[in-house]
Amino acid sequence: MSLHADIRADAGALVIEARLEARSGEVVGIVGPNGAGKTTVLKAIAGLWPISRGKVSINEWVVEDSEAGIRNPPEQRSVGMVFQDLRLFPHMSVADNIGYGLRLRGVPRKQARVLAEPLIETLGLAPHSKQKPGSLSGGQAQKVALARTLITNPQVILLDEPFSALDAESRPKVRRDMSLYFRHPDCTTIIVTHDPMEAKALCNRVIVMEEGRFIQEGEIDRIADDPKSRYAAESLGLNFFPGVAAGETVDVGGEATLSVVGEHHGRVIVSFHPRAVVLHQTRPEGTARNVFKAIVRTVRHENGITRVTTAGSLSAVAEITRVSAEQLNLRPGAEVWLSVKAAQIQVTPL
Amino acid sequence: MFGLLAALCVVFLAVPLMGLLTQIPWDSVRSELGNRDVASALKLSLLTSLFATVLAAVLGIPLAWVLARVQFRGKSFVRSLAILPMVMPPVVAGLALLLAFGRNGLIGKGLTKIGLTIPFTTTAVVIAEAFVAMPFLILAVEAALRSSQTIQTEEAAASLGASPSRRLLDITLPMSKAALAAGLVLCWARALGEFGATITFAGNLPAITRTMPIAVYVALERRPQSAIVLGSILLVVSFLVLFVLRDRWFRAQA
Amino acid sequence: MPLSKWLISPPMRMKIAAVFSLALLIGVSCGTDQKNPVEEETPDSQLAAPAGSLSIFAAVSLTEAFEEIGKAYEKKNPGAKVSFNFAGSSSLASQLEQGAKADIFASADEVTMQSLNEKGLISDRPRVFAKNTMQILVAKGNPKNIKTVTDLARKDLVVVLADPAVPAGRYAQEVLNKASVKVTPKSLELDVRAVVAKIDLGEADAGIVYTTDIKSSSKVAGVKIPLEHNVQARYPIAVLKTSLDIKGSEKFVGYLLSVNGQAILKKHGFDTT
Repeated sequence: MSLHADIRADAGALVIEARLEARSGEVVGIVGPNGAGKTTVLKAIAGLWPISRGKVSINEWVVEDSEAGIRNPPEQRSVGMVFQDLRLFPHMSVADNIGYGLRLRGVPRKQARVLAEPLIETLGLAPHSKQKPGSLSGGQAQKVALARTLITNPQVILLDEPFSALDAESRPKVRRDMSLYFRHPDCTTIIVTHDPMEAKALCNRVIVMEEGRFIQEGEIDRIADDPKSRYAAESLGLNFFPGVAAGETVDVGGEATLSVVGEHHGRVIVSFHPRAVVLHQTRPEGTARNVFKAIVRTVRHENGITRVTTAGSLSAVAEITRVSAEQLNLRPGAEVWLSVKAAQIQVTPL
Repeated sequence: MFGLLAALCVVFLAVPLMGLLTQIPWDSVRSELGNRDVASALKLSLLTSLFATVLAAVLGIPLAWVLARVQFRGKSFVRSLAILPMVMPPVVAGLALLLAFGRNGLIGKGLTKIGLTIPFTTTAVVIAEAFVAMPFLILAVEAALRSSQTIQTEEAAASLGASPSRRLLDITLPMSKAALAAGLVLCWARALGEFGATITFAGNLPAITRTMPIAVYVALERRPQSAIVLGSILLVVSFLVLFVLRDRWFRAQA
Repeated sequence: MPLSKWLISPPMRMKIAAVFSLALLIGVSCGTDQKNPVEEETPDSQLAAPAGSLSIFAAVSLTEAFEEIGKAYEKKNPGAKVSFNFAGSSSLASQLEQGAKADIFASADEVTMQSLNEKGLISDRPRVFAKNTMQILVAKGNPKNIKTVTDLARKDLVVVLADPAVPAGRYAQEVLNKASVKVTPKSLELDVRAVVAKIDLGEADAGIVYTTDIKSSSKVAGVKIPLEHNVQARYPIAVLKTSLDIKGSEKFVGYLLSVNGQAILKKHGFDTT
């Protein structure tokens, strides 16, 4: 067990209670609506937010324990944090920002610059290495913030919406490059994100946090199958399928190939909302390309909406009105056909 | 409307200066500049205002830090105390200093016993100037240290492993540079122009306690023409210093 | 007038502002070029004091005596009002030279009065209305045992004098010269009352002040200076050319020179004529 946190903290009117365990090499996502207290949990682990009681330990080393009166300051925790508002050093060049952590560890300034070079190169920041952060674009600044933390090889990395300032085009590449660093087997990573695609792409498992508490925890697909809250259903209760794109089709395995809009290549995640799935008793007539046969697993009614999970070549979740659910006579084990319009499918490169 | 008021403001600021500068008796400038008393008053003023700024920085910056960063009971009282000399009539400040550090003063009595007499010395000038000018430095630096941007950037440095002293040196001071410079310049300018507290606490003796402002006043009593020259010299020197520093410190920030 | 006439476009307004400020600048700087501003002064009925009110600029050493005389004068002349501006004689003279308006000037020395007279600011011949002598001022009870002017040269004393720029300072210097004593003062105060204050507060041991100043504080005492080392300060008074009420001013000067006025001056330690 690499990171263990069991904490209670006050954030204004909100009381935060969080119990979190993560192994080395694991990447855990925290998702939740604004104001849920996600950032406060990260700050408490980093030692930047006071806890009212609880315990934080990293690799069996107790860095904070309210009962034992232990409280190590943030600089002694080996916890690296990437802030949502970046907090770059405005008076230092890009290279010096990235090299700062090394200099704190006794590396001379010149050598720190040399050591930072490969990372700067990887991130495409080389032309900007002498600039001050004030003159960078949002995406460039975010890369600097990531690099500045990752270069210190912390045992725990805390990322608060780390890719939110990147544009859709550069996001997958930066995400891929960066994940090489924090998927290191000696390192535990916690990512706060509001992007389910990002959670799916990066995290081994996800924690849903609402109003200061952890509501649900597990692999993202399991949560999608059975979301415990409206928020979880809306943001995570999607259909996700990793696959390989070849032009206008994506092979998602299990003999299923989805037609999509636009040209895509390589590894991708396809996703679509359960409401985009149409259920039929018999194979639908017409030209719908994305048509699959499946068996009904579960049927759940909630507020006039029926959520149906299926198993088949494309094990998708569907949300239909209760009226049509009754007309279709859906029961677990029943055979069903599902179809999805290509225009409703989102493709995210990995 | 705003432009008109701004123009009026410039006029308001410029007219008294013009009044002084247009009346300079140029034929006597050379002799005044060569006057030993004028030279010693100018030297004394520059020296004491510099020392007063150093004293204010050594004592005032730590207080600004405490006011900005430490929570404690009676903080608003301490802050009011720190700003009080700014609103106190300088003569009152001088009298208060006399009653504290004078021969019969609260602390002065003890100091006199161990052979330290402060009134009527150059030290008294420095103390009077620092007392009156320090609030300008404290206010400017405290505001900068309270900046949430600076505090958040310090947090980022901490998460990278920077100790409190490294954070101060690497982050806080460089990020507060402009405010620090502005505070120091304001403090120095106020110290240079100090008159009331100095004359009351330190008195008036050539080369020991007669600073430029006092020299101007004395000259006004006897030879108004020479007061105009002295006043203009003081103005030109302070303007030059402000101008050069402004260029070096404030423009570098932009 | 239609409102639209006042609606001027912003750039136009900026231009007007610039022209206006420039005109102001030129106007004011021309004004300061006047060789003698006082002669060009025209009475401003709005700014002038109400009839019967006299503005008197007087040497600071006259403070207590003049305040009492003012009250007595007002009592004797119902409707009359006097207001005083007490300061060092020289700075009052500077203020008058720069155009300050007053009815009467009472100086602590004749040199200052003479300089005003030479500049043509005085309406008639100055008249001496009181005389003063100098004394050594010490703390009450004379703890340092100062007996003579020569004692002022003692190394263990903190001596403060008035700056030679003001009459009291010049007189003090004259006393020291007459006694052939060389004193190293700790400070040259800007007016004689500041000398009294420094001794009152215990920051200085001795000073040379007017005899009349000694009564202004209860914590000090005087040590007489023998006649051969002393100087006589003569206080002249004159009505100023700027006075809007020459008659009233002369009446006040007359009262000052009368038996009643002189009695009050005497009470405050002045020698009278």
